[in-house]
Amino acid sequence: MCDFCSRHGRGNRWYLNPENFSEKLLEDPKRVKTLEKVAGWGIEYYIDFTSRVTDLVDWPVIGKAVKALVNRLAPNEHGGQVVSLEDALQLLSYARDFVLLPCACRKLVGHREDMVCLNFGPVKELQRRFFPEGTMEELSLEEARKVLLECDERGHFHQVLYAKVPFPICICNCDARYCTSLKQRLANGVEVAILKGHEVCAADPDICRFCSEPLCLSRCRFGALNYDPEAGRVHVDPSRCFGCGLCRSACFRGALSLVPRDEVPAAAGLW
Amino acid sequence: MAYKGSFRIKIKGCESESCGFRCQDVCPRGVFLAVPRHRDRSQHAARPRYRIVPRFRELCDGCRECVRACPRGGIRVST
Repeated sequence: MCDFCSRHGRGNRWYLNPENFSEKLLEDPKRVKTLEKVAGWGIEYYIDFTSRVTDLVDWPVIGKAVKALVNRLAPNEHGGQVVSLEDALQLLSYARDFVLLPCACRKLVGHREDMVCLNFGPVKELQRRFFPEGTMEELSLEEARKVLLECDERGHFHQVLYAKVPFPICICNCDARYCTSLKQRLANGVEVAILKGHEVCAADPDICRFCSEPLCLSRCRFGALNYDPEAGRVHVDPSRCFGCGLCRSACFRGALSLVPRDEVPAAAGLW
Repeated sequence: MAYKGSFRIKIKGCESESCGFRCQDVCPRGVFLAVPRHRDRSQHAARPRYRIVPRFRELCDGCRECVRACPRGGIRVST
């Protein structure tokens, strides 16, 4: 169980605790300030600002202090955690007011206008207030589920984003090439920008064998799968796995599954 | 886990709008970030303009695709 769950999960995962979706959490002035900062500045300016700060992590003298500070302050701001498709679908049943927005990371890194950022809760009102002419598509619960399933099929991993822990506001369907949160983690070691999921992938050695077409490899966004051509088998590196579960759907034999992170010694405690 | 590339990326004379952000298109690691040129958000909303910065240069694997793609020859990748 991650730190967020032990503090806000009540025995469950923090993003599956219905209490964390309550509007009462919007009475916290710090949370409102964070939401207004992200929405009011514009997400493009926010990404520019946060990536500029995490860039300082490499500076020789102040780098370590900046990294510690960012990892400590980020839970009070905006960050996320990778979730499996099952968790993402369950999470939707606690949320309301679904809106689909274009992903800002894709726009800034790849100049693409992909409608994959599934927001809920206060985001609809904030978007209307700060960007009345911006692109926004309102969705029902069923339509939101359909978006998640389509994105999963296309190979986008799911990430639940919060505005000051533990208030989920969005599920972004990301890709490793575009996701700026993931890149802040990979490039600058800011782990809290995107935490790993609660599960890791495991390959059943009895089923995963003599495979000449390991399609699962192309679905892994984190370099956690290695193919052994002699045995025709895929090996999972649990320390690299983020637990998105995308690889499972590519295996026509059903050899890949998600197991709780805490049960795998190589991945336990690696958030 | 953090990647630490050893490449320096310099951009000079970038006219990102005119070339259609070709360096971003070709970069396999998503090293380049387009950031708003205007400091004022209302100006940006009226006419969004961006400049390209190699914000995630630690992820660069030195393939030099961006150097070949830049029509102005404005990108330099060195060790």
